[in-house]
Formats: sequence, C-alpha cells, structure tokens
Amino acid sequence: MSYAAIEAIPPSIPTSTDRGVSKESAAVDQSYRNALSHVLSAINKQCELIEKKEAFEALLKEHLTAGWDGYDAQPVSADAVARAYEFAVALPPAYANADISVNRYGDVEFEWYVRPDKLFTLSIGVGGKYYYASLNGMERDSGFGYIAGLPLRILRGVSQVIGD
Amino acid sequence: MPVGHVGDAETLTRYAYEKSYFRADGTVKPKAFHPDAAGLCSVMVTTGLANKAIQLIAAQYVTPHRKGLKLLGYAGVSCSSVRGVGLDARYDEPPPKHANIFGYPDDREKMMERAMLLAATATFQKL
Repeated sequence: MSYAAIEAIPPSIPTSTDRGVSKESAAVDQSYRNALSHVLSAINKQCELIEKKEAFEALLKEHLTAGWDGYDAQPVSADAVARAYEFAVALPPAYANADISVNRYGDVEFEWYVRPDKLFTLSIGVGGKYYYASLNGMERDSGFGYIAGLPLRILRGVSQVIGD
Repeated sequence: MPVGHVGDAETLTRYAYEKSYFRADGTVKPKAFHPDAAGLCSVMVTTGLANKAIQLIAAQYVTPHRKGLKLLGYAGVSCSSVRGVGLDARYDEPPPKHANIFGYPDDREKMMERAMLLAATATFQKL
C-alpha cells in the first residue's frame, strides 16, 4: 500500500464535536462531567482517609509494649494516636506528606524532611500536648502547646521548611 | 579502663533496632538521639573500628539486651560534634567502650532541637 493510500483512510473513531449541539445540551453534558469528577474526588478522599486510618491503627498496634525500640521506649497511647489522627486528617494536602512514627516517649511524631539541616518535627502526646522543633539551615525554632485544630505556628513553621 | 569525658576525636556509635530511627535515604532521624528518662543516650566508643568490629561489639554487649530485636544499622557521630551542639559524652563502663551522651536540656522542645542538630552531623550504616 502506498503512503498516499494510508493517508486517504479517514479516522475510524470520530473526535467529539460541538457541531449540532445546543448550548443547553452542552451545559447539561458539562454538569454531568462536573458531578462525576466530584464523586471521583470524594471517593479518592475517602480512600486516603481509610489508608491514613489504617496507618494510625498500625502505629498503635506496633508500639503497644514498652521497649519497642530495643531501649526503654514507652508504649504509645490510644489518646495520642487519636489526636494525631485528627490532626493528620485536618492537614491541607500540601502538608500531608509527613513521615509518621512513634518516639520513645510514646508520642506520635510527624516529620517533614527536606534534608538533615532542613526539617520540622512535631510530637503529639496524651491530652493533645505537642512539642515541635525545626531546623532550617542556620535558623532554629522550637515550642510546645496543645493541639486545637491546626495550630498556625505549626503550619507556618512547616511551610517555611518545605518551602510551600 | 577509660574514665571521665570522651575525647573530642572519638567516634560514638548509636545502634538502631527500630526502623523509624533512620530514613530510607540513609540519614539518621533526630529521635535516634533522644535521651532516656535519666537524660542519657547510650553509645559505644568505636573510633577507628571497621564495620565488622562495630557489629561485633553490638552482638556481644548490646543486642543481647534488646529483647530479641535485630540490629538494623548504626549511627556514627564524632564527640566534637556532640560538644558542638552543646551536649557532652562520658565513659560509663562496663561494658567496655560504653559511654553516654548527656547534658540535654530539660525542656522537651529544646532537647528535640539538640537531637536534631546532632542527627544532622551523623552518618548511618544500614545493615
């Protein structure tokens, strides 16, 4: 078959066109697309929540006995895990990539890490008491408080470190 | 038996039995250097020792007291770095070569800051 003959074959699947579609029909079509996108987004969010919940349940399960680190680490408490989970699900997506673990005091620890001298660590314990420390090159910061929603200084501190 | 303060030129090794004490990129997390309830962080002085010898020390003196956990790696830090972040180290034998990092601030957030600075200077050997 010659090149010219191949070129002559029309596409078997026609591309969508707006020709002959009324404005009203196009608007209805768009509203269906928006609704589908909304549903898919809600499903994705639900899946993320389920994954997050499972990750926190695993933290609780794996750190229930004292000395889980081979030294003298305290067991994590269900209260600390629950409060840390509430904090985690409230985080904006840009902040959601923290590494989550348990520290030797039995608190849940969030780490936003860029490199060894650029990181933010937040530790959430019983009663929602939190401690944080950050390193951003030569700059250092630390503090403590009680988790109530999303503490502004935590968000600001993380944002400075991860450069968001 | 060495007593008192560990010299600046010495290397201190902190053994890791918990996977969350280091990162996937082979760097050490600050919490690997958090002190115990007595304000001490247990280390071994391993200056000039080869990796095998460092592992042998763990097998002889450390791992048997770690509740059946497997050694996952170890962090190395110089004693001058320890002093550089405002902490200190002294021998605490037996076992031989055992020492403690001490001098952590009482305030937890300040302690976290020191551990963060120390971890930034540490190297990690994953096993």
